[in-house]
Amino acid sequence: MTAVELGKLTREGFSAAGLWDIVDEHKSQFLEFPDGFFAEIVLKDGSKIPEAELVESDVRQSLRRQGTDLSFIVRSIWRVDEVGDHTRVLTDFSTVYPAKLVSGNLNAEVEVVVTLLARDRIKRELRESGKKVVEGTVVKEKVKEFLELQLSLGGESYWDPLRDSKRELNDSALLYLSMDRTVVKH
Amino acid sequence: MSDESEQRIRDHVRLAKGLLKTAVIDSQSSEFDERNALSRAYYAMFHASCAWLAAKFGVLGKLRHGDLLDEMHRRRGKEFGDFLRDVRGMREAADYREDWTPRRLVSEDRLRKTKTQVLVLCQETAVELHRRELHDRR
Repeated sequence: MTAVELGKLTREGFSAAGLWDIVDEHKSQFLEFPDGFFAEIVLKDGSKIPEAELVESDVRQSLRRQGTDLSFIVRSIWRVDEVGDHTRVLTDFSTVYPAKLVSGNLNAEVEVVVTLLARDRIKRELRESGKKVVEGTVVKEKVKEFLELQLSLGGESYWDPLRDSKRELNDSALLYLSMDRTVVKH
Repeated sequence: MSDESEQRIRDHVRLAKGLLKTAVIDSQSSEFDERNALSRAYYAMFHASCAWLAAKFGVLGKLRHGDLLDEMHRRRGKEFGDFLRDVRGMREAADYREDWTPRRLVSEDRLRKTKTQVLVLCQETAVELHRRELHDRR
């Protein structure tokens, strides 16, 4: 068995279950490690995850019968549909922004806590840029950018917004959101 | 996690951030500055990835570059793994290939993305170390 053969086996199982069309082939991966195989299956529709997990469990069982171990994750691609206005201020003066995420037919409501230091940094950047933009709009853009970055990461450390609906945007996180352009000095 | 392991993680983070600071080019940079920047950027990613793997998953042994790539594919997904592979390829070209010439726009793009990813990894590592510290105190 090779990783390529595992991919083929998975494809056959998913095709038979009518699920292959919703698999993102570019983001999915099949890897071989000394302790066995690893599969990451990425779906375009989060509502199909339970069905997909059953299919891959069958693949795992058939491999186990051949003495081969497989660990896998099934996750889905999420997009940020909307970031709302902040809903409340916490005791440490952090502000909470709600956001709606969508994965095919599945929705998730999450909250992003923007720390006081992060807000101060945004204010300072705005002041220095001299742009006439409403501060709240910029914060919402940063929240969206932050969520998109978090959702873009996969593998075993992927973020499942249904299991963990809270994220924190602090000043350190803002640093890597804001500094994208500064790597090249002109 | 032992104090020694934690210190190793902090050393990786220090190296990652230090190397990242040297992975910079400007309009006056020569081909060799560009080659050096690409090479240093890859090593910044390498050390940031080592720190992150150790802090988040307890992967502490000395990893060969190929093993690190596989681990990052598994733990952080295909897109990240492919990006790391690409940066590694550029580092090899920058250091070894005499028939290769860096292209400024491509280099700028890779350096910018590398910087973001290194900082994200270092921040997640710091969060994990802080979380463990709080846990140990309790």
